[in-house]
Amino acid sequence: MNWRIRPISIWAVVIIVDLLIACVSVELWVRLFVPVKNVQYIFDNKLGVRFAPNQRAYGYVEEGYSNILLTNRLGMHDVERNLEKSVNSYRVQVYGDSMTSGIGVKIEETIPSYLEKFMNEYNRLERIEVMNMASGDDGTPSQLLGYEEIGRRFSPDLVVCFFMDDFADNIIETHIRDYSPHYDIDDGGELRLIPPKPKDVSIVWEQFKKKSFLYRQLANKLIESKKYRDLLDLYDNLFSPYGDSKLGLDSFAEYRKDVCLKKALPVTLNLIRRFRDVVEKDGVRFVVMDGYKFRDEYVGTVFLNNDFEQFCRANSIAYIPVYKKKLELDENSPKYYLKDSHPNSAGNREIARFAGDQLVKFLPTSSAAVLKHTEETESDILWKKNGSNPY
Amino acid sequence: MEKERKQSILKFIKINAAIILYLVMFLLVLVYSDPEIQPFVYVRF
Repeated sequence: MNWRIRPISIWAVVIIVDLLIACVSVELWVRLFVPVKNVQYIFDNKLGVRFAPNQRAYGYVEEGYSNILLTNRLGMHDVERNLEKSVNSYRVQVYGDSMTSGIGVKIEETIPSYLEKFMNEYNRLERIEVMNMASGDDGTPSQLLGYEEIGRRFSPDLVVCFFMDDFADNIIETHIRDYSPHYDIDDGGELRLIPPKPKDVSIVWEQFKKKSFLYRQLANKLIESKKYRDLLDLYDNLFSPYGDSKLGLDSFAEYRKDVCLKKALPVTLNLIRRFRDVVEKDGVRFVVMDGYKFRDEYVGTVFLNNDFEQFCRANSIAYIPVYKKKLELDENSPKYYLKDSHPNSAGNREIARFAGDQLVKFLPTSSAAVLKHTEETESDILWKKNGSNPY
Repeated sequence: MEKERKQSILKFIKINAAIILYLVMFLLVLVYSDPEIQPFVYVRF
């Protein structure tokens, strides 16, 4: 060996060993003293990437605040639910994205949990049970497939699609994640499922990513940072294959808007109709909660929340404009939101209070008398105790 | 000769300890830094 190369290669080995020692030391430190967002996912051939069931991990961490994500056997941030409904219960399922799953807050502080609490404050004959059916943070395709594969087995009475301006998440061109399911429209005008691309999580690199807290902590910080977002935007604009392929479009943002209007909008509206059809075929009520003001970056310049409301009316879909409440909360952002813009417990409570007041109107009145918010009277308590209906 | 050998080993250990210390400090600074969080970010592994 050359006399110069030898010492260099020895020092390279020494520095690699030093790096390993440093990484192992900091890994131990992080495991002992630092809360690390460490959400575990599984891959499902039909539903794509979802929260791993029965996990206990930090779901959200920011300076001075953290929250533990607890999932049930279905992989939802919710308490365990029996397959069979209990007698005298009315079961609601809420499908949505990260806002519904609420991994930044405790189970009892998510929107579905608050909905359950508030809706039971109306004195109804039956107990209302609200299941959180949001696993992960995808759009309408995952919600529809989640109902078909999991939700319907739990015999819901009412299904809520919590729509969060999900247009860009519903097609692969703008959602990008090929390990999630998407839809497009075939030549015959019918929805066509694009199944999720299998993800091999058994390879060494994936296992390392799963197990190293230091890696997760550093990757979380990188991916969460605005500077990283700016770099991605720069990459999209410089190297995106779409920018050049569309004449007259100068940036990825323009391409995204174009494809949202031309593809995501019709796909989404068809998906909502499909969701309604599938749910109502099971004899279940379908309700759309519209939770986010449509952004100009997607379809907001052409298709507004009012248009979506008209679409729902025209298709006999019950519609609740939750976005109006959210806009109110946006004016006092620090009080109601976490740093990553998801609502905190107070925000979820306000949204659920507003949504619950509207949602309760869509519950059947034939089996129970719906009363206004009132404290239980003595006769109510006696009625519940003795089983005799005072009305 | 033996003394020189001991000194060179000691020097080697000191240099390595310094390298490890700097690396640990660098990693800890990264771990404890608080970046400006972008909205609606989903970190999936």
